[in-house]
Amino acid sequence: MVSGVGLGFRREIARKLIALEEDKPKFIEFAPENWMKMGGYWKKKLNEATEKYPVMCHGLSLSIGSPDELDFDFLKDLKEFFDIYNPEVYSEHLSYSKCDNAHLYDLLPIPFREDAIEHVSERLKTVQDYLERPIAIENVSYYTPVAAEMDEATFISEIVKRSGCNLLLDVNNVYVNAFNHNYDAKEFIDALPLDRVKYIHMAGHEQVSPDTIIDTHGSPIIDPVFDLFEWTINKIDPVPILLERDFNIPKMGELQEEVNKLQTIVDKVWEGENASKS
Amino acid sequence: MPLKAETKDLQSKLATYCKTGEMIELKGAKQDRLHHYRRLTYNILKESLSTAYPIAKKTLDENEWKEMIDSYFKEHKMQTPQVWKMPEEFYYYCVDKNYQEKFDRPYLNELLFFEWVEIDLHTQEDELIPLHKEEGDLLEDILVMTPEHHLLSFEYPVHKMKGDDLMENKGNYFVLMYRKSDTGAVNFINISSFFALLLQNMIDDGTNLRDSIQKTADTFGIEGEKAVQHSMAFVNDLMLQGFILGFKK
Repeated sequence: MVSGVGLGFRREIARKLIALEEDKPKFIEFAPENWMKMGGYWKKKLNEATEKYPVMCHGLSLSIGSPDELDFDFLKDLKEFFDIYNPEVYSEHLSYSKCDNAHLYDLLPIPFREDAIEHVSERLKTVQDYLERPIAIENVSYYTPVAAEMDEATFISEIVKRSGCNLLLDVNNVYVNAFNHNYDAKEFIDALPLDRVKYIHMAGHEQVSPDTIIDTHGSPIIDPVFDLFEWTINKIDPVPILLERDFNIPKMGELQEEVNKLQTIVDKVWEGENASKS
Repeated sequence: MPLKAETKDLQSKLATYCKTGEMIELKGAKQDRLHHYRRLTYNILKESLSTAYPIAKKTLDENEWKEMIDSYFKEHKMQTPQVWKMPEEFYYYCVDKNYQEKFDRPYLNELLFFEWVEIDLHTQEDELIPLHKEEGDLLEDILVMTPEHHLLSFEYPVHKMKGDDLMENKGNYFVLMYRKSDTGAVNFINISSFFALLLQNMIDDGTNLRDSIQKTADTFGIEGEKAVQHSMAFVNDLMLQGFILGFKK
């Protein structure tokens, strides 16, 4: 299993990332939807990158929380893609992005309700069986709950328990949600099944009003999120960590600095004096 | 336990709000935060379409472009799970809604099509290139072309003019668009109707250049030897430009 800190593979930095000889991230991650069924220049670049780095895949359009039927044509394409690139982790969002037979290409919040838990868990089991690989499901940032019957941590924990899936813990999303919905981020994390965390995401965000942060992936990680990250990884066994940056992508040197900052924390906690947990 | 009708309805209401922008009352939601979902989904769609159709966006006035995007988002059910392929659905939607007539821009469908084909060629899955050699007889051997190509015909020169100039230059235009197999870059070449038919004949019939020239010259009523000279120069140029890859083995 890959360990350490990886970086999102984006077209804007593809050539630099492929050419990198020193100070390389430990792995790359990309969305299969952005590369599936694609040939030409970008397929060559993807192949060059995947020859150089271990791969994680982070999906966008599975829409596991959708009221619509699962799209088995899409799953078939996904499976074929995974057969080629063999990602070490396949993760997806605990949200829905398709409804009433229309894709929306963004993450809408699933109502935290008992029937939704059952619905999502059954679908996760079906998808995992079909793909013959586990899914790590990500806690998403959300800006409003919808008709919630329970809190978010209970919702996520029940789905992980009933579906047998793993958890992608997005620490920035926890910070964003805690801010937006006035809860304690550490209490939230403590309420999750941390033994099921197999992957962690870290990213930046943007505060757009006094009471609202939007999860933009367009800024550097802020110090309180680094602090929450360090606090969190003290509680779990080593897993791969990803730096996500999707907008306002800076020069490679700046990204490397951010990757290195995360790696320093990882080394301190998981390989240093605090390593007794693992 | 299947998803309850109420939960489905809640999810549908939020999704519909994102698509239409028409405010809703959503049970147990922070009403003042809902607009973020409309904004985020709308921006993704708008950015994807602006990236796919930069010339159309620039050519149309702001209100026309906005009307097309708003209507598309509201009415169309986007089918592809791959957002970069979604602009193709936009093209078909715009043709179906006949915006070119509504906005009195008779070149609009062709312009959108031209812009989409460029993306489609750049990204389409790789096709097998037939075995070929670099040396051969230009007239007698079968020529191997790059498989990722389109022969296009337009009434408006959308590949070389913009805006009002298009209206003043209605005619018959033929364009060879292809993906270079070495770099993956998409090239397009303005070609004559004769050469368009010549290439089409070669592709459809699988014949050598000499036979294809003869067939094309017969169609056009052109004397054969003159057509051979011109066609050889044309094909030589296509070799230099990386469209013709060599001679079939």
